Amino acid sequence: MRSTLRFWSMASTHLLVGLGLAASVHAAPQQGGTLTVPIITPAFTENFNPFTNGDNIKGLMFEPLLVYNTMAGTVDYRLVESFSYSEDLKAINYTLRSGLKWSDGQALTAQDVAFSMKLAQKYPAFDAAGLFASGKVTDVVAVDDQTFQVVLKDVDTTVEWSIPNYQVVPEHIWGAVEDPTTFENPNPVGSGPITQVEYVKPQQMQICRNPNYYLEGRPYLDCVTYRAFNDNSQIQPALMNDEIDWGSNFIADIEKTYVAPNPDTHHYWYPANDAIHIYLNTRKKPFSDLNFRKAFSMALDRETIVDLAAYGYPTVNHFPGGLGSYFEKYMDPQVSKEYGSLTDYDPEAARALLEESGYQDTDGDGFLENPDGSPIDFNIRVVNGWTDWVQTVQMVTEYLEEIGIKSRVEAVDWGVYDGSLKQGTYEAAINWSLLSVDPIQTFNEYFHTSRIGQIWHANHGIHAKKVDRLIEEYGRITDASRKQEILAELQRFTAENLPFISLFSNPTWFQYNSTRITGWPTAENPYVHPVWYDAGKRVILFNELHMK
Amino acid sequence: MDASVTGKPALPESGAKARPERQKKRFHRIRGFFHGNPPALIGVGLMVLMIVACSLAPVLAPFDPERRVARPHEAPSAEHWLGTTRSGRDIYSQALYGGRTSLAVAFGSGAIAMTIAVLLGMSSGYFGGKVDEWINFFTNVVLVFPQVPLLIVLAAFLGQVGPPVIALLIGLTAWPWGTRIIRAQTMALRYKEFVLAAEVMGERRWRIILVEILPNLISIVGGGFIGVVLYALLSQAGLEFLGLGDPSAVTWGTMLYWAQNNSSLFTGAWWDVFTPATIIAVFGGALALINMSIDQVSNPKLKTGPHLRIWKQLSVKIERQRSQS
Amino acid sequence: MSFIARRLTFYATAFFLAISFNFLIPRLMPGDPVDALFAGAMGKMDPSQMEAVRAMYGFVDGPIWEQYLSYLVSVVNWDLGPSVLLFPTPVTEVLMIGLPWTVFLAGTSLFLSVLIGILSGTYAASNRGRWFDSIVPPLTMFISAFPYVVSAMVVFFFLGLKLKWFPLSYAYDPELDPAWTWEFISSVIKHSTLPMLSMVVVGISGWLFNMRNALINVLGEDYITMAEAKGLTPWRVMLRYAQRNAMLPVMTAVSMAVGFVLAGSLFTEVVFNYPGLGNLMLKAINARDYPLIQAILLLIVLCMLAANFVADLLLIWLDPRLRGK
Repeated sequence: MRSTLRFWSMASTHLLVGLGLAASVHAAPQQGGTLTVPIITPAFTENFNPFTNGDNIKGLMFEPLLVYNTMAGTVDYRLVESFSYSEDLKAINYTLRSGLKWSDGQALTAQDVAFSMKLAQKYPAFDAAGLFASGKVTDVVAVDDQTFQVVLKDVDTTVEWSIPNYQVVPEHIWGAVEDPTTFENPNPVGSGPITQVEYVKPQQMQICRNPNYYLEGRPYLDCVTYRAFNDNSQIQPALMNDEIDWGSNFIADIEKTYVAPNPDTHHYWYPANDAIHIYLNTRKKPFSDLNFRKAFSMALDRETIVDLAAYGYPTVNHFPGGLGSYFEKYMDPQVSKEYGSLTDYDPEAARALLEESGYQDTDGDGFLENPDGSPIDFNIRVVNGWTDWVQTVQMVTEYLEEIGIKSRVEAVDWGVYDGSLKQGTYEAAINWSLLSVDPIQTFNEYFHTSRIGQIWHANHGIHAKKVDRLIEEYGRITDASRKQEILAELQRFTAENLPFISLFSNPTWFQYNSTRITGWPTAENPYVHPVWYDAGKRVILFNELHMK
Repeated sequence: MDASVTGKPALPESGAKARPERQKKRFHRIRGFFHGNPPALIGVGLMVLMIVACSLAPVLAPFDPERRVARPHEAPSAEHWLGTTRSGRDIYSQALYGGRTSLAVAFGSGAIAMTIAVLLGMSSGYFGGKVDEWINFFTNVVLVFPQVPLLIVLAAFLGQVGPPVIALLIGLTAWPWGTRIIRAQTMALRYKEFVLAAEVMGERRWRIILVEILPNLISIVGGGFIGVVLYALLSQAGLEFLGLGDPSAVTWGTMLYWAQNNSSLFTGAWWDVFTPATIIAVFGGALALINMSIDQVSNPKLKTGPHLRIWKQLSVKIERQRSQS
Repeated sequence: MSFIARRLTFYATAFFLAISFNFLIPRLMPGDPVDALFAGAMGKMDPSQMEAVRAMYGFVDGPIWEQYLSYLVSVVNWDLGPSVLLFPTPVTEVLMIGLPWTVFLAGTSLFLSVLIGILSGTYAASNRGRWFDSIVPPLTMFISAFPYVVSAMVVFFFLGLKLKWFPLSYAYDPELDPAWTWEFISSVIKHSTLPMLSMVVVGISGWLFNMRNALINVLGEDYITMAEAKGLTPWRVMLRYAQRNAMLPVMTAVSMAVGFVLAGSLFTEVVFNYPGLGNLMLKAINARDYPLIQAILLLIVLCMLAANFVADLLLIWLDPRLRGK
């Protein structure tokens, strides 16, 4: 454990030095300017409760405790200055920075943090990572003004990654609130870079700088203007007309419609996000046959699918071990070498494999039947309205037809989709995978038997006692090399059994306009994963932005 | 449609002798419908042309509408007359095949709605009394419901609604207008001599309804049918455009949906949007023209065209004769 | 029972049935708002929160009749609970975000299409058989069959996107504060021009024909011949005698058209990102925001009932025979 901690803190100092150097070359950017972002909502309301309406204000109005900056490989300490585990590893002690203030000038203390965390314990709807509901965390105690302690039920080093999901609100305001679930927090007091509500109109709202922000000279920008939009297709012209600085939306044919007219100022960067797979219900025929699953995987031309169904924005995934490019550094090269070919487009091999395993067209309709003679005809489920996925699945069915397999797109309502994936009543379905701080969380969602019925990724029918134990062991140990071993083993298990067919990694939708504002992360300077809808990532990004 | 129209009562006639007579009359009626009535000609012409084209889709369409046959969003060319969609499918073929489904839905819901309308409207108008009171009340209540929002909500809650479900939904919600008109018309015919005579002669009720009254409602039922078909065509397109339909079914509405979803207007692929849009508009327009013509024929007062022209020619002649004498 | 009392009983019953149906719809359908919320969060929320969130929004299961009773009470008190989409803003407040814009858009375009329709209908009727009468009515009829979506997209593409004459979204420039200043009003007009245009173009035809046909019917009546015989100018006959009587069916049709215009504005709003009820409804549907969907449907039903009632009052005013009974 200690060694990883050292790694994190070293890396973070390294990053700070790097940024500091970059800044000193150009002198400190001047303050001022407004960032405009699009929000898909029918209207803005004066609700500044981060627990019920956090999408717009988390991170920016309420500073995170700390952020795991996975892309930079660092821990970004925000309100928290440092943390350490107790001797028995059953408690985590967090130390806040000194002199922290709320935007109204009152001191921000460990009591505020403990109070806020306990709100989540009292109101399960606020329990953002389910740490209290699952019993993993039993208590949060303010040791003194600057220190609080998270008390764990058992040794579990995966808990710390979920701590940043919890919001910290001022006790001197929220303590007097009768029902925090319906509280609209009309005069918000926050700790983030922007706290002062300038105005709220139905179609636009503006929030400006926190006079008591803890970071010297930050934020560079004065305000954030939120603009309401109906859907992505309405955001497109606004982006094209320089009305928006930071977009996080699907934009059709972005090279042609956005970049080409103004290549100097209109940019996008779509780094890999969560890995997308087609999950197969291996309790049903023909998916119960591993060879069929292998043939399925080899039948798909992933490059063309990505190119046509999604404009080439996603990153093709040729790793069958359950991870996407986001976790590239965790991928086991041995697994890649042994099983990578399963993800290469090879219809000949797929057909041969099927033939070898007894699949034949016995009734002469041009499609293969199961070895026992029963027909193959399955549906691949997708949520109606998620058009890029619908198009992806359409292409998948075309490729399957090429090797003689009959399948159909089945676009269903979310409620139906949700239920069938959790309960395992689907045949095949396209779905995402968990993207978090560490790949172990992803594997936990795939395989741990306690997740069956709870989550969309777990009910495919492939589980093992051994895998459960590996996942549990990972949380209890601190030995980095053993951790790596466990991850490799899990990847091998995935590639051997193929409970899902990896397709690609979703792109992170990130368009930016440098007409007025610079400081954006880029492929060359990827200081943070550019996700607007992530409290921690966007506060890091926002603090780097400044006027041109 | 005008509720005050009264059709000509057909005399209770039977036997083989009357048949050629009737057919001749019918032919005259049909000729009369088109004669000097360009909108009717245009409307029926367009409709027939499009129905024929769509039903011949397997012959006329060069490509499978559900297969990728080219690069995405290729502009119209010799090979792909109307270009290709974002997923590389041939739009011309999609339009033909999609038309089959769209038209089946439109005519299907028309048939469902008009069957209900005829049943309810005629029973209400013929039997009167309590039956009439209840049916009329029920009809009026359903009329108060906002049809389109209701359709949208129903479709949304049912999840992915395929074309058959859409046809059923529209058919089951679109009958009240027809019911009202048919009821009024049946009431007007109810106490005509030929109906009373048939009753006195002891004809069975269902026979009176079917044989004596129904034939006189043909133009109204026909007009109502066309009206519902038009309404169904538009509603289906609307529902599917909003993404409430089955996106993997090829219909004119889903073509529009995909075009809109792939931002075709922004990326310059106008053909992707305007092909289905134009087709729906033209077919709808044709139906509207037919409906207008039916209206004019069934209400002789509205008939302009030939009569007026003949009268004008006559008056010119008269003037001339007068001035000569 | 007097006419008004009878109608009021009908409205009360219809309203009761409507809200009962409204209550049933979501309960018969799969999926609930918390599911949709989780779909939106794409796995960022922990499923263990689900039950808690459900309780927070007030979706607690109980016997169905208990739910029904509390629903009725809440409707009567116009306290429809918090919206899920914009939690915890009350649904009644959320409605007010969209209602004024929809009323403005639908109302003004209805008014404009009626006005243009009546004028051109009158003109067509008084110039029967001339070029205007033989071309314009069929042409508007043809256009009237375009789905709202299609006319909206055509206008959006050519006048908005290509020529850039008008803005493509919002009801007014979001930078402005609503106020009775010329700046704000002109912004409202500019933003509403395109959606209104697309609705008016589609809407004219009905009124044109209504007016034209009603006029032609009336023109055959004796009192018109009488007026003409008295030597009154044709234009005066048209306005003073004929139009007044022809207005009766037109006016009752206006109230009936409210439902259609509301439905049309729904689609138009979606294409133009206009912040009205239609947009709100679609958002509510996607989010499975039951309270909001129910409230919007309820509001539309109320609008329809009110429109019907106004039509009844007009009938009484224009047709004295109904007053005595």
